[in-house]
Amino acid sequence: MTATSAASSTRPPFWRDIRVLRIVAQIAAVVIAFVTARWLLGNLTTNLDEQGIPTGWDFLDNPAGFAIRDSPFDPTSPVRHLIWVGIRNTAAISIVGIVLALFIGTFVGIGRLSTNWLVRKLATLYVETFRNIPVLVIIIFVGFALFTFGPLPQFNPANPPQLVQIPGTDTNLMILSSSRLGFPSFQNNDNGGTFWIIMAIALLAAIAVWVWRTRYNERTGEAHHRVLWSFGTLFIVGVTAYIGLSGPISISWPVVSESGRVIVGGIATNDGYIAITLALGIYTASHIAEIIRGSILAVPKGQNEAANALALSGFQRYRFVVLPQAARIALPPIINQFLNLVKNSSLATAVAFPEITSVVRTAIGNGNPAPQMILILMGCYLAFSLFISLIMNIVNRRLQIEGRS
Amino acid sequence: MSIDWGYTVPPDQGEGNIAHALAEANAPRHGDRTPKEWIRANLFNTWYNTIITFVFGAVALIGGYYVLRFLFVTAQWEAVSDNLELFMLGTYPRSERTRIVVQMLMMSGSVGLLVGYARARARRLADEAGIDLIPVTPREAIATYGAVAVFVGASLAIGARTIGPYMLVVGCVAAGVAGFMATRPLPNPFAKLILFTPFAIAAGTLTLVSDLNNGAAYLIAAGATAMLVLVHVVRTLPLILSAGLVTGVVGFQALSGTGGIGWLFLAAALVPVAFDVLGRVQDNLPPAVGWIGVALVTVALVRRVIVDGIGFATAVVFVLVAVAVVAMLRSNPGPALRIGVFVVLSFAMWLVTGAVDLEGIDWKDWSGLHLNIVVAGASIVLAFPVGLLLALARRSSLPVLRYMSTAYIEIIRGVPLISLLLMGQFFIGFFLNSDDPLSNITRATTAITMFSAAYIAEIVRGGLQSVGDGQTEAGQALGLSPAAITRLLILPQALRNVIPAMVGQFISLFKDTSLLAIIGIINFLSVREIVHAQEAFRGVGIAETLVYVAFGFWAISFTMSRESQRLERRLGVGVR
Repeated sequence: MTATSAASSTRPPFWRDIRVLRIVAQIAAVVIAFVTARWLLGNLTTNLDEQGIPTGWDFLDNPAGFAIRDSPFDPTSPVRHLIWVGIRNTAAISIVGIVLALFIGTFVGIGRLSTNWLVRKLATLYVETFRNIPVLVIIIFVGFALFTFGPLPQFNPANPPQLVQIPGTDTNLMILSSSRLGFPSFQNNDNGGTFWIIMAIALLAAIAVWVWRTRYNERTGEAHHRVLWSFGTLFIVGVTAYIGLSGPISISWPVVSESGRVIVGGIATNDGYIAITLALGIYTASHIAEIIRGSILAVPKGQNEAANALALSGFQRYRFVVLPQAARIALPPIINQFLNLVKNSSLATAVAFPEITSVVRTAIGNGNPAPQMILILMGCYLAFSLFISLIMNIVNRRLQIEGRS
Repeated sequence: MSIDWGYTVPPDQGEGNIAHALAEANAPRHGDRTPKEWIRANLFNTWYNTIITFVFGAVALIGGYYVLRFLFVTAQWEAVSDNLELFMLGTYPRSERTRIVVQMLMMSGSVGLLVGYARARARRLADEAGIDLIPVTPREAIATYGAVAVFVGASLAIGARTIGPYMLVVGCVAAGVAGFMATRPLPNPFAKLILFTPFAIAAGTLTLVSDLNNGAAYLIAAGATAMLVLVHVVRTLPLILSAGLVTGVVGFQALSGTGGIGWLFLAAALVPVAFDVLGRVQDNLPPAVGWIGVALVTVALVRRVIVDGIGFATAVVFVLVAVAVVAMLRSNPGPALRIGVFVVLSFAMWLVTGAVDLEGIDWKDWSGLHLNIVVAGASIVLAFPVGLLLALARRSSLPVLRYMSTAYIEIIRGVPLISLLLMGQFFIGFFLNSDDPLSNITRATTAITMFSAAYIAEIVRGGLQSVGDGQTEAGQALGLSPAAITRLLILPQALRNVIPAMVGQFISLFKDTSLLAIIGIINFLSVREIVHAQEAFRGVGIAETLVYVAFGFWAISFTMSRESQRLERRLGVGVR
């Protein structure tokens, strides 16, 4: 008895004492990390000095020295401005790409669970094809095989583009060519600004009506018809404002300019943008489809059986029982796919679309210091990732609480 | 969806005859469906499904027509078929093609041996557990490997102008089969002849590549045959594993030469058989043997340093000797002897590779599909241990380690791979104070490894979290050390649980090797640029080359994912 208590009260020698070892290990890790970082950075600054590459950030105000196609950015604009153009273009790819991927992915994912054999097989074919091809190959395929060397006509005075017109009129619905594409868009007339402000207020009002109808339903138990009510609000305000302001906006149709070289009116874009957005949408959709299928299958079987026992119809079963639960499972991995899409947008450099990676590469090629430029590049992507995570975490939290109340 | 009652006659139509309904319910339902019934149930069961069927059927027919017409009628495959070798090997020096042939044959043999090892091990485990092994059905094999077979077949069909490529494919298959058969009992004496296929392959490849040295080819064949015979006669699991790994490493060195740290890989490949032998003789060894071994190696090392000076290789051996001495001092003969054996092995392999001293082709000259596979393989081998360590560090109870590893993982996961590749291209060289700059491919592989390690770490972390606390507590109750608990209890279960996710990561790593095209390394994708720079294919066959490249990537990725699904079923992941 005394022997054991003596043994346990004696501390082990310090080199076997776990408390000491833990602290020593951590200090050692910090020291190793610090020394390594110091050594690497020391080498970096020495080597940069030897090569005569500046280590400061003054280069941001220097002229970039090159122009960007179809953009007001010219060689005298500063590098700072260049980065801003890149960020805007990345955002343009990401937003449209995410919407496209979610749209296709949802349909294909539900299609994989269809009772229709043909739809199921086609959806499986889609997923298994695009999931196993590198996204870069898809981007280059769309960019080069469908556009640059594809079936569409070129865009020059001798060789006019293909016009898709509304039947019976001269109005161009779309202008298609291998380098420039035009689509219709809204155009502000007089009072255009006022109209959009009124519409923003109407949107807020519609949300308020939605909340009010939901609360009303919760209080009285009567049907809320919130979709009807809030869209009705938006519609009535919109129509009234449109008539009251005597046509503040109109649709602007794309037209080939007189010189035959550019598109005026509508939204003009180029093959690079369409290629990267379409390819990312198609590729990411194949992953999203798998997530959606997995989440629907992950809803416990008992929930389906309970819905059947309550005699809900197939639509009601999906709308009120299966999908709300599946959405909760699906959201985190889908956010991950959105982040992947943003990161994959860096491959636009393969089709020469000037998003952030592409402009940073060109800027480095034009003599700007590589370490700082790549640091900026990484900082931008980290910021994008954090931003999307933030928004989606808020959505995710709301969804979770709603599900449990 | 119509409600499936499980009866061919719904109960409300059975005229109240419950016996009739029950008899119907017991009858097998799937075998006796006529095609007409099947079509009704799967395509036209409701009015909207009928519409959907017609719409999508029309889309599928039109799309299928255009795709087939493109593939077989309008496509001009000359851009691919004239440049097949370019797609496979890129700018690799053609005079050294022999090495690739040797490497492919050896790798096939290695794969055969390793598959044989996995089968033999599974059979033994099944015997111990008293259960039957699930046989591999032909249907399963076709579903798994059909894609790659079609890719190889299509490549041969459009691009092979001589008998050479066919011979190579046949040789690879034969080598794989020979390796596999060597691991099995062959009661039929004629079947044993398959062990001598290396000679047939050597003779075959001599006709294939005219510049192959006859002597070297038959020497390699003799070595391979001797090894297969040894494996077949002894047939213990460690020997089979070692034989497979050694074949793989030697096959690699046939291409890369014996420089660098290849000897370390050889020693590692021999570890299973060495430890097996050690385990059998350990009890009869006096403890002094370990000391004598370490002393001998130290003397040899000192001599080597005096002769050659201190290099990277000497430094590695030096560290190993130091570890061995420390382990011997800790009066725990088991691990000490093992480390001692490993030191002796590495040293012996160092001497052997030094004696063979084969000049290699530097991997900055490798390219084409071959490069994609090598870079993906190298990155997998390197990123896995790094990712494992990062995951363990992220779960560590030491805050400093946890923060550092979390920061690394989150930063790397937040940026695209291309930014890391650009970093490698533009300024990884500036971080190192070295006179000879790293080759472009080394820098790219480093970047891909850094990138994948962060993702693998997150996957492993998920696996670690999936193992219950009870396992750790059980280990503690047995008095195991934390390291032993992690190594023996947690990691095996954690890694088994994440096999699908891990293979998914490996697939995306393989697909990511296509990004080498952006930083100007000639890989399977960027071979296209060389092809379309040729006079005959300027602006011609753009879609054809892209379809071929996409199909190549698709076939390999698809096979990997199918294999992972098969593995998952076999290991019963997620099934209790």
